[in-house]
Formats: sequence, C-alpha cells, structure tokens
Amino acid sequence: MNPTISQIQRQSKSKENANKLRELAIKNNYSSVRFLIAPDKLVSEEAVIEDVLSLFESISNNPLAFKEFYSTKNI
Amino acid sequence: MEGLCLSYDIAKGTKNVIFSNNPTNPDLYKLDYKNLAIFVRDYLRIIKENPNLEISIKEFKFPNDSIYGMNLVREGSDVIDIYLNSELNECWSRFVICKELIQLYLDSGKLVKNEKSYPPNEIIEQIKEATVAQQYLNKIDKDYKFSTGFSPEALAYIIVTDLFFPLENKRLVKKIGTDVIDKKKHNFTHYDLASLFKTPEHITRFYRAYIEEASLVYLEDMEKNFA
Repeated sequence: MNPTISQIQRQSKSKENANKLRELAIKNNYSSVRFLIAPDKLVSEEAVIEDVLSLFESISNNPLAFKEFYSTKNI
Repeated sequence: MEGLCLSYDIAKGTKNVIFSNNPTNPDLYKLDYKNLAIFVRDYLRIIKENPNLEISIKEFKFPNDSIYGMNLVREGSDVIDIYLNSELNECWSRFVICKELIQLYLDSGKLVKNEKSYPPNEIIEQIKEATVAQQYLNKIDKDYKFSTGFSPEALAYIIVTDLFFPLENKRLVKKIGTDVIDKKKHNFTHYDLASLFKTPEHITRFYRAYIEEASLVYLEDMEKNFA
C-alpha cells in the first residue's frame, strides 16, 4: 500500500526535525546530553525529537528566559 | 541486575548525606534532591577540577510532554543545567531531578563499565536507543536484557528507582507490598505506598515488579559481608 500524503508529510517533517536537532547539538557543542523519557506513557521517537529540538531552540533564542527551580549557588 | 551494585555503593557511601527523615514519620527516609544536588556538585568540582562549578535546575514546558527531564553539559562552562518538565507534580519532579543528578554523577566519574557515550552528531541514535529501552522498562519487561552498549538513561533510571526506597526501609516496603497490597488486605494500594514514600505510583509499581526481589538479595549479601 502506498503511503498517504499526510504520512509523507509527517516523514518529511520528522526528517527535517532530526536534521535541525543534529545541527543544533553540534553547533552548541554539548559534551553530554541526557534525558528522561516519560516513564509512564508510550511516546514516539518523533515526539521526543520534537521536544528536544524545542528546548534547544528555546536555549538558542533566549537562554535567560527559563524560570529557575533550584540552584546550588550560594550553598 | 545491572545498576543495583552502583545503587548500593551510592546508598552506603552517602547514608547521612543524601537521605533525610520524613518529618511526619521519622522511621521513613527519603532521597533529598537538594542534598543530592550539593553532593553531586561537590563531587563534580573535584572530578572536573573546577571549584566554581554549580548546578542549576530550570523549568521548561516540553510541547509533547514526552520528556520529563534533561541535563546538558557544556565543556568549559561553570554551570550544568538540568531542565525539568514544568507540568510534573511534586513526586515526579523530585524523581526526575534525582535521576538527572545521578546521571551526572555516573557520567562524570566513568563509573559504569561499557557505558555508551554519544557525540553530539549521534543525538538521533541516542534518542532512538533511549526510547526503545524506556518502552521496555515501561512495560516492566523483565526479559529485556541490556547489551554492552545499553542506554545510560535507562541505567540511571533503574539506580534512582532503587535509591527511592532506602536500605533502611526496603523490608518494610516488601512487607507492605506483599502482606497488604498483594493480598488485598485493608484496602491498601500502590498509590498509598507511593504516598508514604513521596514517590510516583508508576515508580513504586516498577520498583516492586522489576527491582525489589534483586534489591533484597543485595541487601542480604551486604549485611552478611558486614556482619
């Protein structure tokens, strides 16, 4: 069965996101990236890639915009 | 089980440092993320020979809610950032922060034999492997065997789950789980057990199904060796 147009669009978008994410990871030169994928739900690789990409883009756009939850500074 | 020997090494070596008493029930202990953050920071300062190193935990709303936490290390930076999913409740937030901190501890000291490392250009491969490993763990699949190139994320997840039930309370958890929950006495549920230890219910179920048995064998071995 041939893929539908929406399936082709999704695959294309997914590939584009993967390429963007790889580029940002290299550009930002992280020596280590670790994550915890939601342990209590089923998630797809595409959803994870989108989420990581969203964080990387937010950091690139405005690294000071994040609300601090806790810091070891001054302790 | 892969990871439990490390969990025990951490728990033994840091007994009075990273655990604190539960204020409402002094016999119960809990992994304290603030104490753990300071312990990991001080350890990293020595390992990385950087006395200015700090750890900052920030909130972020992940659009698909598929990630609960991340840590990013940049060589040469004085700050290591942990990003916490801002939609999580208190129990999940505590668990996620502890997992990312333990991950930093494991990664920095190269404590894990055969641990796979990923250069930035392999981030997609890393995500694929971590997603597959996490899906197996979510299904509580005891037959899943970590290969020599296992997902470091999954290993840290197992270690933190074990640490969430401190050595002093492991037998109590087993007793409550077996006598009350499994035999359905007193209407006590996994949710109640999770509330007692301020742990996500999913993690409590995962611990009991996947880790508890092996963990108690380790506990008995440890007690024999110290007897």
